[in-house]
Amino acid sequence: MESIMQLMQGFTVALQPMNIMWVTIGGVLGTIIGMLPGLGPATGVAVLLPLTFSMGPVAALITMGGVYYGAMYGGSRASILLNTPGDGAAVAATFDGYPMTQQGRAEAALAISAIASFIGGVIATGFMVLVSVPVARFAIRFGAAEYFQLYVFALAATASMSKGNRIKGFMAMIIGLMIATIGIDAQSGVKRFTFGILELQSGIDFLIVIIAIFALGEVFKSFQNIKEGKTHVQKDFGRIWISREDWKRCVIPILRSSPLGFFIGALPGAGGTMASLMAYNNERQMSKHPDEFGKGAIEGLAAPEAANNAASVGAMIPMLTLGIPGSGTTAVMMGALMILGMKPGPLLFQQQPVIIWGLIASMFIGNIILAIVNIPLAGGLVRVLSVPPKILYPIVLGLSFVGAYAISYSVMDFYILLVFGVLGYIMGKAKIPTSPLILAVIVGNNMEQSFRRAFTISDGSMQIFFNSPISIVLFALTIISICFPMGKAVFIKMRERRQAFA
Amino acid sequence: MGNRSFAASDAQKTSLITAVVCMLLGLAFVIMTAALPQAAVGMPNAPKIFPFALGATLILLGAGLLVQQLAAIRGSTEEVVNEHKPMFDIHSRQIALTVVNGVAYGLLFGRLGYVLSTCVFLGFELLLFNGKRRWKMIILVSVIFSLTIYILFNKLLGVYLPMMPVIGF
Amino acid sequence: MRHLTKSMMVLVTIVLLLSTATALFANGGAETTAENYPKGNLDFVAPGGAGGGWDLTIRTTAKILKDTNLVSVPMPVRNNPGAGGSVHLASLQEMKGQDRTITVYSPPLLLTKLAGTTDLGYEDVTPLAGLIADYAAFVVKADSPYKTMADLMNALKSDIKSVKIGGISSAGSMDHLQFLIMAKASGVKNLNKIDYVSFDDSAVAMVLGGHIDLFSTGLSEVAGLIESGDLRALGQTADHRVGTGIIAEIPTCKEQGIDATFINWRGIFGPPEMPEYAVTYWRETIKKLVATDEWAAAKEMNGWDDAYMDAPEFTTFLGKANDDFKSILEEIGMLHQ
Repeated sequence: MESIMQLMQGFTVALQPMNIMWVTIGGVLGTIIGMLPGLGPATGVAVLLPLTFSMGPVAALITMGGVYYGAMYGGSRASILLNTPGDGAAVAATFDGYPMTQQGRAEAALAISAIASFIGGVIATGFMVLVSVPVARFAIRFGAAEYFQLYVFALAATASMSKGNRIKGFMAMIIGLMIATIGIDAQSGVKRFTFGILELQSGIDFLIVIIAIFALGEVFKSFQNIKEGKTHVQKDFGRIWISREDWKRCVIPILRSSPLGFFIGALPGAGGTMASLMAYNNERQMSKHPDEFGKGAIEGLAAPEAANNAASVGAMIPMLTLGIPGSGTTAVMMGALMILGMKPGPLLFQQQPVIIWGLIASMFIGNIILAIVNIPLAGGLVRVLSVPPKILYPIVLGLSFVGAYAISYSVMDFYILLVFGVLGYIMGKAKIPTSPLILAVIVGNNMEQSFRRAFTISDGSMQIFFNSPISIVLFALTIISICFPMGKAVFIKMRERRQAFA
Repeated sequence: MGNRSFAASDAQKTSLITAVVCMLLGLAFVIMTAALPQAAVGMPNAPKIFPFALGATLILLGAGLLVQQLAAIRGSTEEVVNEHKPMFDIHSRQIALTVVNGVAYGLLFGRLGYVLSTCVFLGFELLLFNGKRRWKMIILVSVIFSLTIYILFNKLLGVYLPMMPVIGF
Repeated sequence: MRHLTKSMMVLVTIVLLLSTATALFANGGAETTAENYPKGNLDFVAPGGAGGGWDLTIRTTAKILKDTNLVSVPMPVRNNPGAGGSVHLASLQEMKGQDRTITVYSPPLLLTKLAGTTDLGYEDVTPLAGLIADYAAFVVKADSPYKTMADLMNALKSDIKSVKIGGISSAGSMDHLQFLIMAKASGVKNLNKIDYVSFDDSAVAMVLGGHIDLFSTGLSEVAGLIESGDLRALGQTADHRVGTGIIAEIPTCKEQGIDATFINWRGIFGPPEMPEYAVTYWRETIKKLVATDEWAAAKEMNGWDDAYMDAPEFTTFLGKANDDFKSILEEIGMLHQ
């Protein structure tokens, strides 16, 4: 157990008072940055990069690590309280987190989100100590065909997720996929549906669509809700904690979602958004009461929160073991490593064991500190709900615009934001669900591109999609996720009939 | 109720409109796809296949919804009670004004800098929600908000926001 | 509702008035002259996002100019990303004749125009100096049957579909064309039939996992994996050996009988029709910059090769690089007419 020995050594590094201070500072800053719309972990790390140049490599890495998972903790605060996710990984937290707030259970939602993030982070760090190298070697077995199967699986799960009219759910998905085709097609260089607008050439950032549909949609709806007195101002605030019963519902989902998130995070390019959405779908399908999902089921919040924090740990694996950036954030961190004079790559563990194991040990400490910091912080944050809606909603609007600007520094995004805000509102009126659209926008381009990459590599043979055990397993999961809900419906109907006869 | 086929509820009417709009959208997408240039490398039609399939599927889904809703209308025997809510009510007006305000914000943003343009934008939006009588609160909130965000983003985090011209703040 | 519509009218009027007012201000600002330039804040722009190559170059430049006191006025850096730098190129056109904005570009400046993304090209900016260079590297997995560039090109000549080439950028841009330039110089025919697969960021993982045969990329991007022995570089595209250790052992394509080079240059540019005094100032300042120890240290740290060129030389170089790209794009049918 050489790695345990080295981990112990890492702890002696991470537990130095200065390093504990850095991880705390990084974590708190990250939490604040994560809460602002449009500013996710990648921007957070990039912004604080110059600050870390004057530190030593250990302190710099530990601080950046703190910013990274701090931003993951912070990202979901706005999702839960205002239905305005700060980044992709926090989208899934709106599905059940915001309904909980509407029911006056914001305290419990914030608490479980911090607890689940903490457990997810710690479990994933444990995995990292034990299996990082084999996981990295396994992750590179994912080729274009395997990624295609993975994206199809994610999409199939949401298509069945839509409530109400099935046809409308599929419509939303197709419209989302259409949005994802906008921009330069990477495989051929052909510009698709850009209408001569330069800013559209790199496609529409899915974060803009998310901010538009959730935040602007919420503001548009509020005009009516305020008039009809449907909005409320929360005056009494309880303690940020959860009941024993809530806890019982969440334990298993958290434990299941953490390894899932860890692994999805370790796949280069998949990331926290995919991890949290897949964890959510997974729990909904395994749940005994799937109809409560989307209406404030606490495990529907716990699962994606655990998964996205685990994914942020997993994303470090390709960076540390292979020198491949697994996500936008780790790409920025890799740049920082190089500036600090380290060469990310397979030799890093051997050449710089003290720094790497120090970083891993600091992940444990960072998660503990973040959990401690976040619970009192949430107690203050929840008071946002005491701001009258007539003031709160214009402010949400102001935050949405500045968030959109921070993504690409372009005013064009204001107009895109408005277009999709209106689209989201109309979809709400026409009772078309928006979550299939969101997921389709996130995975759409990758799905099409992976398909065509595989198709080129195989010289046009479809066999490539079933060539590896990974593809076959993912394909089987897709079939199950489509058939399982239908099968369950048939089963319930049959049981009802039998009971009627009895 | 002489002609039962017209006895559609508001929800059903909305669905019918949705179906038709989606079919038109799908058709427009197919036409735009056909107009795309061919790829010079790889298969010439490779960039068109996926969008074409999407357009076609949306048309089919629209048709499916149309059939489903018409069947439901024909099959229903219940008397339909319609609330006769106007399609474009007071809220649509407020939403439209918010959109216009957003476009104006975009036009002013680069010219006036973040702080001033945000004061104007947020001020108008607060006016829309609160009415003229609370002008003191409106000015206070919009000034504090724009200054806080500007200092937080531009000065503390180093995320660039346009500065005011001349003054250079 | 009526009062709202009225206030909307007021708002629109305000917008119009303010825009005209600022437009007047912008044109009537105080004149800067050759004697007191630079005065007030400069405006350093990376035409790409935070953390990218352009961003790193311009931030490093600004930092060293400040640290060495070569420039004493503030140089705030901002990002203006979009469409491979074309968004910023378009906004530079509105700054015609101004002297405050300094920006960085690399080969996409030429490629975006040739591919028809924009009508603007290197003639629509003022080249001030060539700064640094990286070179293309063609890498394979350690156990690949291809050992030299010749192995690879021979395989392509006997079966054009037998080698799958991966890269990060989209078809028709740098990763794709740098390989085609070498293939053309080796005498491979039907360049447009070569399979190039664009992967976003995951291309390194694809070559490590054996999903593609060759990865066309920048040398500094894969240096770590070459040193560890996981990847093998068949060749690099400079006209000389670069780096130290294992990196210096990578043969150039020229040594292997392919008569071509490819430079991923980065240079400093000003807005179109930049005034003469500003051009002179920056040519002199950058000449001093590249001679500093701080600059040498930054090059070493980032794996940048020296490629300093003064404005006239740099402009000629840009013309030649542009012709190279043009002939390749024409050959594969991707040149925008």
